[in-house]
Amino acid sequence: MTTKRRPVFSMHRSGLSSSVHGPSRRMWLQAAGASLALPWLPSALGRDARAAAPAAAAPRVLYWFVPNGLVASALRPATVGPDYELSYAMEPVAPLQHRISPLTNFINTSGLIGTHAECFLSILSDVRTDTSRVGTPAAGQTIDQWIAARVGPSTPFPSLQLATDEPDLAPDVSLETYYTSIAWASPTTPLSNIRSPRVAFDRMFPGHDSQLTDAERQKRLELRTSVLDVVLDRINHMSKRLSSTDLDKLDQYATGVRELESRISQLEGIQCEAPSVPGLNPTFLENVEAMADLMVVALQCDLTRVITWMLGNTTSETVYSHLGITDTHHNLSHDFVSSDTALEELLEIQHWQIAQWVALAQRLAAITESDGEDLLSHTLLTLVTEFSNSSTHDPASVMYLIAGGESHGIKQGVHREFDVPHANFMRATASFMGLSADDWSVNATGVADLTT
Amino acid sequence: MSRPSATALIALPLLAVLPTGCGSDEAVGDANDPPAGKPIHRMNKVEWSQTLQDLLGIQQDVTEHFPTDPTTFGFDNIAAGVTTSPVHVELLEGAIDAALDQFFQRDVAAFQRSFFEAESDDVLYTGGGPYEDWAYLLEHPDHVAHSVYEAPARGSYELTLFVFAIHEQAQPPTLIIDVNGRTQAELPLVTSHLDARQALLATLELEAGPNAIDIRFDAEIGAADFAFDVLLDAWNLAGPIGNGTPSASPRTADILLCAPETDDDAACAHDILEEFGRRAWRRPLTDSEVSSFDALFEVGLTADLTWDEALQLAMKGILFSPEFSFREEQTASPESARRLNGYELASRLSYFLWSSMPDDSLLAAADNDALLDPDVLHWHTERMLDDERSDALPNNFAGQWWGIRTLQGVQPDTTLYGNWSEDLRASMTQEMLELARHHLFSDGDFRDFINAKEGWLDPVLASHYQMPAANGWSSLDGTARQGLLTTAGWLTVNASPAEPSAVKRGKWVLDNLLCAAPPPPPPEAQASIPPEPDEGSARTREEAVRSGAFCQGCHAEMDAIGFSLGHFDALGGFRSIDEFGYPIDAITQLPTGDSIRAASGLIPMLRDDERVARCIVEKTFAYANGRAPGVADERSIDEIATAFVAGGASFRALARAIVQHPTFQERGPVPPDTIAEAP
Repeated sequence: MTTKRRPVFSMHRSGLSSSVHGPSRRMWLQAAGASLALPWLPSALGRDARAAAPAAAAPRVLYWFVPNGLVASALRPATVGPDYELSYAMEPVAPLQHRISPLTNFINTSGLIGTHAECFLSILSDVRTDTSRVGTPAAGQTIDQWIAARVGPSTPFPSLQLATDEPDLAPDVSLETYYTSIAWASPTTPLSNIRSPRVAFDRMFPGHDSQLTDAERQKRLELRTSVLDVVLDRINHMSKRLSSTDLDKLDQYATGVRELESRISQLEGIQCEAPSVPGLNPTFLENVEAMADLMVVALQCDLTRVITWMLGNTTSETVYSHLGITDTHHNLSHDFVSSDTALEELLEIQHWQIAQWVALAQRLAAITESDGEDLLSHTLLTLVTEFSNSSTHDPASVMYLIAGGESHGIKQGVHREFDVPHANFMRATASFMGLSADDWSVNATGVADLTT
Repeated sequence: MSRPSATALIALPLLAVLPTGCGSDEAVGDANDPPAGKPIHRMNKVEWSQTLQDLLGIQQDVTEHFPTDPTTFGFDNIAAGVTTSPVHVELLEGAIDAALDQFFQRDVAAFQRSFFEAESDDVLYTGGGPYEDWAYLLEHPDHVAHSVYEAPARGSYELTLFVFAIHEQAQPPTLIIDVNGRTQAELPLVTSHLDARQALLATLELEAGPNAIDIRFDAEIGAADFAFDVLLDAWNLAGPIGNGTPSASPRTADILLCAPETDDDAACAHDILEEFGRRAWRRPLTDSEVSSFDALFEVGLTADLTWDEALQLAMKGILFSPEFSFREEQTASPESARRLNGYELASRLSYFLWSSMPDDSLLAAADNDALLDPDVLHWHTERMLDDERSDALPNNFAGQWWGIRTLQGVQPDTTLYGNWSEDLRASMTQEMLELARHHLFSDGDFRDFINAKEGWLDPVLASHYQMPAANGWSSLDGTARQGLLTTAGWLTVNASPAEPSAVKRGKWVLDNLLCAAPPPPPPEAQASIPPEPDEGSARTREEAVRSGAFCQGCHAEMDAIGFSLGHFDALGGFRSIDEFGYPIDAITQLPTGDSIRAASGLIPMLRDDERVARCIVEKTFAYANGRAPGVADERSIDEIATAFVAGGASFRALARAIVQHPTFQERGPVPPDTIAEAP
């Protein structure tokens, strides 16, 4: 028998990091196509970043969706106003509390007494959707898309839809779109999420072949545009042969081609340092981290001013195994009323979710823009969800969080209690973007005041 | 033995007997309406990939990272539900470029460097263990590190492997690098110094796409002589070096019909584009359509592209045009149905049976509408079912209907089910796919998939089923298992991570075998749920939760079916006691009063339930026609069901009945969308 022994290396991870992992890791990163997600390096980005400087530091808005509700009864601060107290799940807010405000007691009118999907779709659309209908999907234009239609043309991406990569839903869901798409460009055009950080990265940073001269690059761009022109011509021909329902489908394709055509020239003009290249098959945690990297850089470089992020589909069956939880998020979100263990685990999940959201806010706060203010002060970072009580699918007294936006008039650090339709808040996000959304939503009774 | 009546499940007077009833959430409509048409049909992710592969003779899945298309009525190929986002269009452009680059054997691969951390989830191990949080320790000759590298192209790649090695042997050991099961490098470890990281270098020849790269020890070393430890830190793959060249496509001669006589030979390009367009658009192009692409070819030449680069540019134009991605069917008027022409019918047939484009033979039959002749259509249907491309049916049709795709995403609770593994998932998947293949393509009664007495087992699954080692079709006689509902895969999909779910199992049967989908639980029901008792068997606890009259309307039947499968745990293993230590009680009672005695009572009863044949027709109808059946289709479904059973009830007979039915050969009127604009 050979005597087995453990290795007795004298160095530890920290000892290795400067000589072995430090420089070489950076070199790999800089080479095109490093395949694993590595921690985002704010210093690397900060130093050279010619990033960005959107003209006059324009307002940007991000709708960060948490599926399966927040337990409002446990999370809502006891007192209204500044210096609100933080319950366990809200603790991650503490380091940035002066820049974060809980907004409570909104009524999601159009989602009342609805299914998961109905309450989910009404968050940004404020439209009551008959989710049992099997046929052409139909909801309503969502506030993010209403905004994107107005501010989108000034950036390469009118809007971005990002999400975690969740497994397929059970096949008995009659219309999966109703569970997976939070953003709808029109009542019949749900927008697909990008679930792969690598795909999002490749779209945002199409890359330049450094061996090409400017003239060669220009020639390639022109050839690519020639193809798109022919394609648009073909679309025009086809549209003359089609009925109205067909035209709706073709128009979705045409929108994509037109957006692509303007994007390829807009992206040419943007100098922006890319974060590390995300891996192709990330874990849940790697995905969340890599997508956060991309959201930061997309806002920083003015690639887009409107983002939706879904930390899972509504009815998310994600198992938060990294928190030591073995049941699915969806099961827990129903069981918590009858089981203390389930409640504890659900709050543990919400604690973690809020921590991710706060971490994103902190990263935005660490980036200084051309006007000397930080990126967070130019961004309205929202956290939205379907329910105040997920067990009963209750969308009344729903609670949201907002961070940042101070440079455009938002007053932060205050717990505000409302008793108005949630559409008032959605209109306020449009106001923040400098738009008046009085024609959006029939349920709204005004614009929620976030400035006093 | 008295078996419960076969009709027990057929006519449950739920609405009459129970206080709240269990209405179904089927679409409403008028049976006198003409069958609805479907909008123009965009290819889904799977169809795009398969079509580009068949068209160009390439191997790579160029749409792998597209967003998955949402399902409607359980399928991702329902035209109304397939919507297009800007991201699809943008990714499609890249996919078309990648596919054409492969076809033209371009050096597609931009030099790429990829980095593997040994301790990351991207590397799997046989044996060994993590070392702190940054390395992995191999200390036995059987220990192996497995990784998969997605090579952008075929070619040579430089491997740099960073290790620390400690050994007490005169002869330093050797690390072996296997690529796709073949040894490509033997790397001697030099005498170790405790703090010295070694960089081992090798050149590997990789194929485009995934390559399995295993790092192991020299097999010559016996365990007895083995006295060293190797710490894997990381490795780095860079390449392709020089040219990464895709292999030549078998379709080259069919597509490049002529060779250019001059550097600017437009006539040859025209001939190629005309014929390529016919295949890509699945119909002949008009002269003016071809001329758009002739013009694009000229644009390329003017920009100093070579002849074949200019040709590629024009081919990209053909593939990026909507005629490629959309299956267009003409309407006659908004009110009436119109018979499809040969090309439209050929596409319907090939996307039903193959999830891909018509081949040359089918396209030839579409010329002059020969395919409209029922005998010609029949001949092609049979031919295509016999072709290996019909493997799309088990993968995409059964794959979605039976939940085989869903199985790929389940995450069982490994603290309770320590025997869960990726191997087990793969074996479960294989069993379900083999079951699908066997029953889709055999001449026997298709409904036998419900009570098949044979299962496709490999050693992993046989052990899971506590059966003698097996590899292939094995008899299930003497076990509690028969058919789909007792496969471990189906049982795992219809479970929660920690426990089996009578509700999910019962609901699946109602949704997918009886087509009697219950509506979602109303919020009032959720609000009235009593707390779960903390004693008693799992079944009695669950029953207490759903004992209210409000729940019973739907759950009475659903749970009777679900609890009868109580002998199977959340991974489909057999059990005689539940998670609380109580014996399984799998005898249940339907609202009609008939009882079900466990799986062996349920399954034959379902097999003979006359609703099953009709439900199978509904599912197949939806998948084949690319639209969810409506009330106006009921008569058609009855007709097809009759033909299916009369024709011997094989899936082949069903496919034949669907294909020969007017609903498959006509485009119904497409009503303008009646959904009001959002306020």
